[in-house]
Amino acid sequence: MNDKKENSGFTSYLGEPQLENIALNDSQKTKFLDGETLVCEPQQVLMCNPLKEIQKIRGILTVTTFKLSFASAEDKDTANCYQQNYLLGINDICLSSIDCIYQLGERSKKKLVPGQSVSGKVKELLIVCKNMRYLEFSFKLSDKDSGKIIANALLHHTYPKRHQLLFAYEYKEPYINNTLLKEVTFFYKRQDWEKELQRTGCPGWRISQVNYNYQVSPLLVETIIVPKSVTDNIVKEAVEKFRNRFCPVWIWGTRNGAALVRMAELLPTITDRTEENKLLEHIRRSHPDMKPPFIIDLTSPSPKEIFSSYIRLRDLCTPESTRVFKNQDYKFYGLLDSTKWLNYVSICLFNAKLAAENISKENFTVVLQEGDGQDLNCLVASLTQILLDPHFRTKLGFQSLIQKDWIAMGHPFANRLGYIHSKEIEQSPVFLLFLDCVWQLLQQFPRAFELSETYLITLWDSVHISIFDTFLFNCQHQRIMASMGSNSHLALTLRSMWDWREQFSDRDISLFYNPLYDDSFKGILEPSVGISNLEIWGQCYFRWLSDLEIRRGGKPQIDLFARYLVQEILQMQLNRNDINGKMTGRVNKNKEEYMDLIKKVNSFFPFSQNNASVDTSINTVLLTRDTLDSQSLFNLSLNDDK
Amino acid sequence: MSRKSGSLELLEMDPNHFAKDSYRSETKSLNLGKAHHDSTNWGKTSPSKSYCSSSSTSTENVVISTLERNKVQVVSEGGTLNRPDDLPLLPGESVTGQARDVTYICPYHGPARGTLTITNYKLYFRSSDKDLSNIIDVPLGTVSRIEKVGGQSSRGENAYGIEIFCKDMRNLRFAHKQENHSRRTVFEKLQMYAFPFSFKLKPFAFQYQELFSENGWTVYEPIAELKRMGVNNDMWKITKINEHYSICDSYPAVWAIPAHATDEEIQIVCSFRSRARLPVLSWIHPESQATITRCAQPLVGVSGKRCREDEHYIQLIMDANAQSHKLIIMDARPTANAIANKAKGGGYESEDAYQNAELVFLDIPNIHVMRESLRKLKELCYPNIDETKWLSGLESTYWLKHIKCILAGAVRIVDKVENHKTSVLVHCSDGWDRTAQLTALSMLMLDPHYRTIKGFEILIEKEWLSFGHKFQQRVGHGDDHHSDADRSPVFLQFLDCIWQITQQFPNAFEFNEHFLITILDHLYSCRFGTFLCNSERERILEKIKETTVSLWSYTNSNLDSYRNPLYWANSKQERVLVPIASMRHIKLWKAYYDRWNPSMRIQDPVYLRIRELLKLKEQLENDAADYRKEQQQRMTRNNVNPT
Repeated sequence: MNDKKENSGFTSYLGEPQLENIALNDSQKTKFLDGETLVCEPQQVLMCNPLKEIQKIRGILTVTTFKLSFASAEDKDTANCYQQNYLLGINDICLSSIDCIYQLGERSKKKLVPGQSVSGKVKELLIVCKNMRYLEFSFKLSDKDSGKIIANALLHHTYPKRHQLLFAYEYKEPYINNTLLKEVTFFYKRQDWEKELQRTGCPGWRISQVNYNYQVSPLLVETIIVPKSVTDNIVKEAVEKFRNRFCPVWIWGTRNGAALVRMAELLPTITDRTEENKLLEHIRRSHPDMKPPFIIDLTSPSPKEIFSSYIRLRDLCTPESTRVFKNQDYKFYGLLDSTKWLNYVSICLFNAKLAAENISKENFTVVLQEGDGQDLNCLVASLTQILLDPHFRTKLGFQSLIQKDWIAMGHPFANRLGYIHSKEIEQSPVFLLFLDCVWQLLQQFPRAFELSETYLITLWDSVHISIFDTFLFNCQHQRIMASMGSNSHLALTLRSMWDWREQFSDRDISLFYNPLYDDSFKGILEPSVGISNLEIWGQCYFRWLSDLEIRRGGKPQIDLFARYLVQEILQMQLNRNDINGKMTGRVNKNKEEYMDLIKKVNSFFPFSQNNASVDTSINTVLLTRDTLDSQSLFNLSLNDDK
Repeated sequence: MSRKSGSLELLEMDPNHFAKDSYRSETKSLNLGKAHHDSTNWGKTSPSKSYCSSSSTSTENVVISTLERNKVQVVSEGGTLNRPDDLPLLPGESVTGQARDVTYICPYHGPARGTLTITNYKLYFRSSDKDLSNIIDVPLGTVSRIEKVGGQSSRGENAYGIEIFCKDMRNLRFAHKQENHSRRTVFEKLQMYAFPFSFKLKPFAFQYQELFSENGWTVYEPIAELKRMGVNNDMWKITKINEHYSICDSYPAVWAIPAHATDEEIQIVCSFRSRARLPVLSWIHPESQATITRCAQPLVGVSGKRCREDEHYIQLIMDANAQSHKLIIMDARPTANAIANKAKGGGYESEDAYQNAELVFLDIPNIHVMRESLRKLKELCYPNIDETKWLSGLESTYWLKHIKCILAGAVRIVDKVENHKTSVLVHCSDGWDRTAQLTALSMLMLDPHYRTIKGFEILIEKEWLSFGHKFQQRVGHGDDHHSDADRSPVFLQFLDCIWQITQQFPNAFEFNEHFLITILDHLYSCRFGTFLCNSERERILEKIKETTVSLWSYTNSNLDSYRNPLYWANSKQERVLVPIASMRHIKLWKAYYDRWNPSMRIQDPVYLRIRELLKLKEQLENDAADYRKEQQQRMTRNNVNPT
């Protein structure tokens, strides 16, 4: 594209060295998806590492209808990069994963607000993403208006006001998948719910078709499971009384009759709780021992609280300079405390543990109740099921759980993930809080999960990619409408995110499996839920801070070793069952592959930015104290120093 | 060599005891997927039975303190040792006092009644309950303070008794019956054996008789270690000038100095350095010959005195490294403290006097700041944690910040030596606290030898013990001055830093966390002679080697329990480790600081699972070998009797 232009006519009057045009080979050029269109592509943009002032890469910055892409002649070969998404280049980010755009000045940082446009000169932009990735671009070498053009293009395309403006509607790539059924149960159909009721063997409940075709409410799941004693008419009357028409519905249960039930609060206009009590009485009757249900009220944290906690956490993970990094580091635990993030993780785990104990030890039916019934209810219900039911700790089970408790039950993903921007919409990473809780469980019970940390992180990255329908909608009804098309927009092709091959190679997908998994372990998980037993999810939140990457160290060393062990054990078992007892050379090959990786990889593997090249220099700037530090309290006792 | 004696000792020496249990579960699990663990037990990784006992007491031998080995045995072999009077004794240990009807006030599970026994080594409480869940077994060396609580007239339940404050992050409360001065004997014996020096007695290490198959006193041979680094060579020589500790009484008998330094020069340099601790060699880079040397502060004083010989001597150290024309002097102190020291005759090297030397201050606070920080940490962790204040409380102890600061200093040394091929001279004020932390840590980062079990023992022997870290003073062995200003957790900080590095490089170390905790437990226990006295000279005078057992005899006779299962994977590892000294990576070492709290998740489940997988692999390998053998035999038989 760019190599047609010659730079012979260019004269620099600015004292900058004369810049050659950037020549990219085919693998370095920005690639386009079918249906993706170019918005702008200024040259000679510098991508900076906020923590290494000298480190700058020159390249072409492109905004398309799908992504922001930076292409440079210095880009490394992607062959050595792991978890490299097919849909994006190394330095590409999907527009819907962008959260904030800042204009940087000498000493200032100004947030650019959607709906406005930038008129002045833009020297530098800082892009902060929802997955805590952040990128800094400088336009000091590029044409005069480049910064402004990019800023306005981003403001225009990153924050769509209507759902139909999302790239998913323009993406033309056809999609066929036959193998997906092995990956997930969608819970879109009645049969899926019937099977779940059968699988759990929970007595006392029945399928109700009262919301068939969404005739009662488009917000409510189409197939609902209610106590056997409740007639459809009772349900029809009852839904009117609840916020979002979310009357009590069954979500999971045990053979002993203890069920997990979710419901919203009664509408604020209703002061008489009779309707609610009637349904609770039916729930009591549905229990074989007629036990009254145990109700857990999930008012805290609210989506709003979660969002502001997340913002503070993100600030800790996206320092825009070494000075900020060091100041944060200096009082890190205090700052972490003030984010309240681990506090919220702790509350969610506590509630899930409480629910699980009441179900498993007391054989109570547990009813989770929350305002609209579609935020913390999703979170705590799914966590509870993970604690109780080993099925949900497998990959198939986990994906099905998300389909059931989040997607079918109508967690408003489009709003919460910030796909659509509007003043009325409340963005909040409730789902990230859930993933963090699951990660904490994975730390405490590594053998219990078929999934790896890498899977959980990749999942959070992928929910922001706007071509999959899975996390794109607020409810199932909205999905159906979108897939049918209308006068105003084309029919959207439904493309499930669980089809991981759309994004990743088999090699990368193999890293989704936890090598420590023990499939004979079926026990109930009893996590420690106090903050002192929780950890900050460093691999997820810090992986974009290259200075925090431990060279040839960190958890990947354990992970890869465990993978090697498991491979070797499987191989030996295979050999043993082999009648001839032939020892093949495959074991040793395997061993070498993993040993080779162990020697190469750094601590953010497989999310390291450049696995191939290891930065040997030590950033000593980060090792010294700054002025703030040396005036610290420690010097008070200087006369004691002997 | 190992002596045959009673069943207790045999039990204690049985290294397979713990392994048996896990093996049993292994045998059931030939399919990888079908591995062990009945579901009901799982999830109780935190100790479920012996909650209040003196160790982390899990049934897996992972982070259990070695001190408690006896007790774990007692619990598991309860059938034979069930009488309340039975208590495990070490060779040389004897009962000195006992009180019945004593109540142990467990901060986690309430009061438990039982018998309290004092020996010349430990305090031992066993509840009269059959379930044996309340066993307290604390070496008296661990005790820092004993207080009487309440008097004859005190009212209320459990108001009369003894409170014991320990150096290992816990306190113990015992309540006695108010009649007949029931606590008197126990209190007196506790005092006597916890603080033997105050009673003109010697620590238990001098009575301890156990024999081991390994002799830990031979682990460190100063000359052999210097030879390993290639000394003598053109630039460095071994000198025995201090053979009688007459030049410097806190230095070892043997050191390495620049080859061209004369004996006269050394005498003068010594007179210009605090406590005569002149710069000597700690480590040489095998390729670049850049060195790490250590010393005490120069005696510059307010007037800014100079010493030509000292300046020349420093020049010799610089010249010994042909790769660089610079020398970095890392002063571990905060700048202000270094300046303040001038008033007391000390100070730091001025860059005018020491040309080509670059002075860097590492801002590490002194021993008093560190002591206060640990006190706050103990307050935070023991007995119970207030979850709502956990993170802010951790912040306000500054403990992790200090750990980070020490690690950062060591990384800066590594950076200079490894990446800039420049020699580094390290000192603080006297060069036996912060200096030892920094040289030992940077050596461990630079040289994989020190990351093996025996190499680590050598590192401690060399940089800490032989170069006169004042263990006696810093720990306060056997004396009752619990508020002594010389006490400070300097060595604990060092092991904490090591633990932080093991977290960042899980397969770079031959040893595991259990090894570090064992060292810390015996830093206080006084069962071994290793950490007694303040210097090599004192140890010679006290005949420590001749009359006590080395901790390394004990550890090296039982190496398997200290091995890190991941170490093998890193046999071709990086030579140099560069940990990231950021608070975002520094964590609290819960398995040590929080180990008495049963609600803390202490065991590392990843580690346990890896061990299982390794066991399984080993078993499959054995099966395969057996199978091949069988095949071979069958073949031979077939050849003999062809059918």
